[in-house]
Amino acid sequence: MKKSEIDALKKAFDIPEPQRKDSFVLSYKEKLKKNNRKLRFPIAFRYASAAAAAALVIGLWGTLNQTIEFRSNFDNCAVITESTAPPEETDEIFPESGDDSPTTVPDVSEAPDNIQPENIILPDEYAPPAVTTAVSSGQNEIALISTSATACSGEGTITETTSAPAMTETVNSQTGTISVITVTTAPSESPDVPPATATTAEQTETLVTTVATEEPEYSPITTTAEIEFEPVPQITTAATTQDSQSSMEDSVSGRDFTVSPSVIYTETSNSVDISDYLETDDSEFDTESTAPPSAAPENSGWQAMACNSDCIVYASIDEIIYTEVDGKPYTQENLTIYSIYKNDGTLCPSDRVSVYLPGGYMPAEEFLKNSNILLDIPENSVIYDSGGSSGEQQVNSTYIFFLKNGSGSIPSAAFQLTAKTDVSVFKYSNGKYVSLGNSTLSFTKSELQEFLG
Amino acid sequence: MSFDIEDQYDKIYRYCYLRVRNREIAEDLTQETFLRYLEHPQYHNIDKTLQLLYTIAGNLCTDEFRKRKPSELPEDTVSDEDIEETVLSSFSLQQALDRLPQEEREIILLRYINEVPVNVIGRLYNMSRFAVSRKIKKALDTLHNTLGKEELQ
Repeated sequence: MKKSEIDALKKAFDIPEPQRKDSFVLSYKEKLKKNNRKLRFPIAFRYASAAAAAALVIGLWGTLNQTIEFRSNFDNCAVITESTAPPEETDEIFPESGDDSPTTVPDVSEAPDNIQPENIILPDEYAPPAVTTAVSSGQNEIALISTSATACSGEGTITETTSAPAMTETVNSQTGTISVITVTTAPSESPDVPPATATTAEQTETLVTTVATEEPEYSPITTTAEIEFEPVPQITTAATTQDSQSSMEDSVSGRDFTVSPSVIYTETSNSVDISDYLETDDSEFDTESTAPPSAAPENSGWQAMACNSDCIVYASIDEIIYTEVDGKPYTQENLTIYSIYKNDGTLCPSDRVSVYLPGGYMPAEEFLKNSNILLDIPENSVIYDSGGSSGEQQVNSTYIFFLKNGSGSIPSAAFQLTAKTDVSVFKYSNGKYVSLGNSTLSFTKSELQEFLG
Repeated sequence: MSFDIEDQYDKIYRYCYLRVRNREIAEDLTQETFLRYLEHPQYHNIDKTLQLLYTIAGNLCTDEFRKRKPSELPEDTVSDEDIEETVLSSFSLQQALDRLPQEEREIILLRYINEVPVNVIGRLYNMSRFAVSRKIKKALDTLHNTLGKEELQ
């Protein structure tokens, strides 16, 4: 509609001008200002509420941390309290009683012959604290479990002390009886200590109102074992029964940082070695190309490799798993760490970690799907790729590993070898540690310690 | 959404006047409309200020109609002073507007005098904006037919 038409319409509507507009507009604006004022609480209330919120967050965070840490160690127990004491040279292991009947605790001193203690050198900061945990289960049992990890000395010897006896007190409120079991354990390799004893005593009384129990008398038996460094260290303590063995291994083993691979391939005896089909070195599947060009540890010696490493550990291989990363065959090795020469602050002795290194077994179908190589290989066969490594690593053997944190598609919780191949893995041979991938690289323990300062 | 009170005051006043045909009452209702709008700050930030203002004004006008006695006549339906001017200027257009239904008259005022968007008018009268457009077109056709195109201009 045109402006002239609108003007005509305005005239036709014949609406008179308002008379009280100005005064109302003024009062309306004042009222609007009053309404727009925000209600502000006193500053004391605001600070108090902020402090309360912060306390709540900190409390929740602390509770959550404690819960997670506990569950990682004792999945089958319900923990009520946990207290931490300074490190002591005391190792008390009291297996939890599983039922109401008196339990005979196995003699931990009866260690198998294959367990050989070792001279382990650890810095003092890695000494785990002694932990005392009170456990209460839903069956009215009260069991006191006192556990301390092995304390480490810094002078090349490890002193492992077992203190006994332990007292496990089980109260059964339904039957009104109290059973007191006293167990005395001692290591067998101590020449000054009488042969291992396991004494079980059961006392049954009828409970009426109050049960008074005498404090157990402790007569600690100390065993000191000084052991050589090589060949195979054993930290876990063996027991005679399967249940006791597993519970005791849990109590002394470290944290489990191993990762679960996305896929697991099996090793077969009739596998096809891919290197037989690759004639030239510049093929796509040349694993040497994955190594960082700047590092070149093979040419710079083990010192350069040590500088490039995030961690240097002495560990044994628990498990070898063949998997894949980005469609290429990889091998995951789960290690148990015995000692640490270089650390980024994340690892402790007895921890279990995963290491990824290129190469491994993979079905030919999967291999051909993820590579552009045209090979005349039956699809049902299994490809083996060495990944540039010698493939000499074996389960239950101990090596010194030069490790870097996982990068790229490798899980961040896992490690990779500094040189990508087993050049970064050293095996003890004739008083020296010799690289598996390059026999010209070798060092002694003292050389490594001296270099790392 | 904030609005210019001076501009909206005139528009709401025109809308009220069209419905109650009394200057004093229309101005009272206009002011009451803005005061009630202030009492509901929860609606101020939902981008429907115009709709809220016209809804309040319309409800107030309806209440005012109910209060009136049937015998009362509008104040300025017949004014001796305006007769001559009305006859000379827009007598015929006013007559044509008077022949329109009340709803179409209000819609014409809202759309062309108060410049209210079609979608807001649709929400006020509970109809779609297409229906509002059809009503506006029908009202304008009626005016054109009654007066002829030249006279409207």
